[in-house]
Amino acid sequence: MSFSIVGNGGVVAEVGGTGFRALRVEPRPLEIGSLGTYRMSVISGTMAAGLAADSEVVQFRWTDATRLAVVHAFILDGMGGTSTAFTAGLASFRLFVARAFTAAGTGGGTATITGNNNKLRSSMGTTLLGEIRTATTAALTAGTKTLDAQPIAQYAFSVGTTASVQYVEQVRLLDSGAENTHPVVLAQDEGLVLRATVPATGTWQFGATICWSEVASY
Amino acid sequence: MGFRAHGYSGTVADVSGTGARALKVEPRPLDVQGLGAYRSAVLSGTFTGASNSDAWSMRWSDATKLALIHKVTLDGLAGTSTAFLAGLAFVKLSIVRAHLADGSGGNRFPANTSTGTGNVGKTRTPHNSETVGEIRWGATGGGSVGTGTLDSQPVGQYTFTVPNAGSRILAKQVTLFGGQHPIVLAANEGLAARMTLPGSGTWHHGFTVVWSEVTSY
Repeated sequence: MSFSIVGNGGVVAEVGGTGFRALRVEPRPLEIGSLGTYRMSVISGTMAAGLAADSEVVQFRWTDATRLAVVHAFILDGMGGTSTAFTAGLASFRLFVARAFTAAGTGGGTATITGNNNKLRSSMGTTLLGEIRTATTAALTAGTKTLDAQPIAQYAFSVGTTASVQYVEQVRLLDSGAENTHPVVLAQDEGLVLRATVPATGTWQFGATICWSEVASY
Repeated sequence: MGFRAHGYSGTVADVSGTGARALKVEPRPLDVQGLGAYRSAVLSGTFTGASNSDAWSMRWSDATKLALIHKVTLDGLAGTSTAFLAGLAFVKLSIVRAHLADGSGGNRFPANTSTGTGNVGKTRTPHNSETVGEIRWGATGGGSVGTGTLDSQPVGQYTFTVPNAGSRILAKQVTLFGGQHPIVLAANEGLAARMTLPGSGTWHHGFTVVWSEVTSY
């Protein structure tokens, strides 16, 4: 005995054909109810020379007590050097989950997250995010948190002594949608932290884009 | 007791095998509800620009339909033989809200409001002609996105460095926006791409936007 699948609107679903006999599906993004999905790009200033190893350069902090942040993507939007050259050496960007993130860091600049800013649809709710903080010229201070012992994503590269070189192209550190993998799900006082290690003497700029949804449950 | 699922035309769906025992599914794109799905790729001329030049914009002005933006790419950015000063650069894509009036300068699609768009950009000829208000791109320099308010932060960007040299590829194809949830534009909303490059050089670049037009989402 067989049956047809009928949607809430009365439309009957279809099977593609007798070759694969595959049920047609139309993937939709995560159900967000009255909350929302957001995407935000942040950019540093000209980062000063001599940054310590593993300096914190982006902090994404979720503070809402009852909702969850589902992080779909964290993208490095390039990193380029200025006319002040580096000493040659190895470099990395590493993305960590932060837990017990009970106090924000300081330094850099924070994104404007009020009103309609960075909603993917104007009718969505204003983001409940605590803050996105981005280094401008120097590392951010840590605030109060515990980073996991290992990062969840990273990019390793090398730096030469030639000035004005593009060191990092666009790199998708997290992309759960494209990969069909489990997103990072943040509860109250949890977050993501991007750390950078670069060689001495050079000055540089980088950007990052984060995409997330805010939900009551997941 | 098991049962079988059959489609509207009566074909019974299948499970792949006794290994994974997975129901076979055929992912389909968004149902465009009788409207359509479109792509537009535009190329600048030899470009010079001031800081934060308006290089590309899209304005959605339809009062009843929605534009779902699936993807926006920077289709490369390359310098001419006229060298730049060395320095940092970026391209930023922002949502424009209260986008009440068209921009100015450069090239515009459709060419004018009376001729319509025909089959241009349709991913399937039977789709409706697109009803986008305008897609505008700079020819030789930045134009204006018109009346509108850009969000405080962009939704996509690429930051890069420019050497003191000519005839270099400065940016390859970069996805400025793409992901599971589209940008949903209602009436008088849009997108704008702004770029800043160091002085003295000239270059060209391209943008592609992929979108659907629907009555509801």
